[in-house]
Amino acid sequence: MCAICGCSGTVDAGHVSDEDAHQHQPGHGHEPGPEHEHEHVHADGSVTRHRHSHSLLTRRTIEVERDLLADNDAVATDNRRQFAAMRTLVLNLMSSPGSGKTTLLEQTLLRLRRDVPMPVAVIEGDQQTSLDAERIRKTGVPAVQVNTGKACHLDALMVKRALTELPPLRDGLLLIENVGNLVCPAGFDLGEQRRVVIASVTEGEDKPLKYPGMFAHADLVVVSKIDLLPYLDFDGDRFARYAEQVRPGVELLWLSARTGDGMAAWLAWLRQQRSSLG
Amino acid sequence: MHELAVAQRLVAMIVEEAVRSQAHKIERVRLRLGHLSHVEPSSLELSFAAASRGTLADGAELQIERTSGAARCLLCGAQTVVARHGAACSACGECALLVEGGEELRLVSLEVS
Repeated sequence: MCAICGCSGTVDAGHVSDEDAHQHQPGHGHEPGPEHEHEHVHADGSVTRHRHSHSLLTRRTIEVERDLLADNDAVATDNRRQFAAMRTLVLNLMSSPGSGKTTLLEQTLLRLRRDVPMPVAVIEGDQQTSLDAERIRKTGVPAVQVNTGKACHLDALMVKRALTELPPLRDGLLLIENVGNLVCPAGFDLGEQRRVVIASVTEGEDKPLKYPGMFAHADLVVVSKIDLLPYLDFDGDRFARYAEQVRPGVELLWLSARTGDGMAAWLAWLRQQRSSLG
Repeated sequence: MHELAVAQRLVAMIVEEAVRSQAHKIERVRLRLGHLSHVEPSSLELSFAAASRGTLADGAELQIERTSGAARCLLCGAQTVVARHGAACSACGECALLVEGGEELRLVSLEVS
């Protein structure tokens, strides 16, 4: 069967083929057009009536080889350069909804102000509302709310725009609270220097295995709400083993923002990361 | 559903390429998608169909070539092929693999008319 029009002949055995077109009746040009019907003559003189669309006859390939997230990555690289110029530590905090990210941030900001004063700002990502940014501002720290609308993650451009709404930061700390979601935010580089994944003990110990894409690139895993451990069957060793399986060598910090347990180690980690920026 | 964001980006890229080469329709799109990338092929296909509606790519066929994940074992040093994060090393059986490849998400080519 002819691969071009589906008639019973073959291109080799009788079609007059210039590249991929038959020889058509005079006056039948090959401008692109909708599917239509017409006759064409084979080399043996037989006439076939068939339907075809010209698009089929004039297909061509365009080689592209471009990364689909190239645009986001370019903006993220730009952000990273800007953060370096600001000598500011930038963290991308990711977790499922309800892990206690905002409470951890509030408590972190209050303690930082008391113990390690430095310029701090927060970018809050949520699909809707500015509730989180309002909570952060109550601690006295400037915060910008980014509403992603339908989107399930922050991207580098949202962060770049949010930056322009914040007072200039230098030698400080910028905390980006991503949209609560253990899947999508993992795929979008924001230009951050460190990725922190927060998992609360109420979520169970199998989260690293269930959402490996999120844990696979974490620089730190914070296990939150440990004050609830007495009421749960959460197996901490298993959680640690699973996290290690997905991200070998990852550091784990156990804390409760509510009781303050483990907060000193978290603040020490922040200070250490900030001084490692040089 | 970050696949929708990826699909929208894909449609923008291929329409741009097609317009540049004065094509009238995008017939087929070839992607290379690593097994360890954060994109689910079936979800991407669905999102692509929605995102391409009414554009030059409306009705285009999406061909997805999967590439395997590459990792190195931090314990025994073996290079190994993995299909998912958190897999065990094929040489020593331990789960201490550092992912080194297979996360790509690339537009390879498109067929236009």
